[in-house]
Amino acid sequence: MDEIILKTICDIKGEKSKAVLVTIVDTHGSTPRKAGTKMLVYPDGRIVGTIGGGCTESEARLQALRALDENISFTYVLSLLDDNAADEGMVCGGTMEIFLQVI
Amino acid sequence: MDIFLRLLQKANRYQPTDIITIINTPKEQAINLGEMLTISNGNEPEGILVDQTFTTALIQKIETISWQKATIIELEYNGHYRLFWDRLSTRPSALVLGAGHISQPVVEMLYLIGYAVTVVDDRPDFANNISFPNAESVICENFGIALKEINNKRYSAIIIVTRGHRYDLECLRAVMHYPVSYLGMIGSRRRVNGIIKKLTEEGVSKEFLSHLRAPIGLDLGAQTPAEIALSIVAEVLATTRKGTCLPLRDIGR
Repeated sequence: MDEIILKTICDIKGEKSKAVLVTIVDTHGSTPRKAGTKMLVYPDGRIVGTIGGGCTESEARLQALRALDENISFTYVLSLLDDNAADEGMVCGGTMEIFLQVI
Repeated sequence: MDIFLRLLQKANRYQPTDIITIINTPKEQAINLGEMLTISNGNEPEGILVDQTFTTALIQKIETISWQKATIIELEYNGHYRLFWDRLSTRPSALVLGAGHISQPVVEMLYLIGYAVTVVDDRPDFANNISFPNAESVICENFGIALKEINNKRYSAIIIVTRGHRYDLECLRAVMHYPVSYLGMIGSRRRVNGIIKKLTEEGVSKEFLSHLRAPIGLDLGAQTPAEIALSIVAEVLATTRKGTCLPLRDIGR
């Protein structure tokens, strides 16, 4: 956890606002970022930091908004398997587990 | 005080800290999800996970494991718990000695990859905040004086790129015993060989001299100041991240 993300969290809390801290907690196979990488998702969907971008990040963002709506923290597994490749029966990516923490 | 605020203060003080967060619990204990415990070197742990017994068991468990990287820990306690063990990562700091044409893009690129950079030079026309808008601090002072006042434990990388070899050597002597993972000094192969010969005659250890990155940088065919800066910063990164410096294409074929 680095000071930039900590500072952002403290700013959000200072404004009595909420957000979801998304942390990669485990990875398997080939993934863009490793365990410990973090991003923040605001209630309006804005993001600070990145867990690798692309469609898995937008899936993580949707799950973060669900966490905010339901006010629960949970883990979630993202698959980075390329759809077309998967259709062909080939697996070219990995999976990563994230923890979505309402702060 | 809020745990994140406390962590921010620890980050500002460069205080190494373990952070443990509950990420899965048995269904009936979902209330404990997201609870955090922090352990700073030499201090009492701060925070409670589930209850005191659980917290003590967890602390005993991580004391038996040596940290490799951020990872998941599992614990049985009337059900299955998973916890994420992370660490506070403070921004790495770099010291750039010299504020000339190569220094400017070096500082800019170090800033881009997340370094807090201190620049030192004795020329006010070069060592100023306008030339280095993204430096953490710019010190306009004689090198010898500036280096006496600097906290030498703070920096993980030192880059010596002053305007003259006399100053380079003066700086090198001053920082020789700093505990840094990267120490580089600019200079042609011939100049560098001369300096190494001189230092060897003075009794400087072979081990130290083999650690010194001089001539500085990777062989990228760099010509311009910005290109040379890129080759230097690439070498700093490869050292800290333990990269091989080989093209990815040629690795693992």
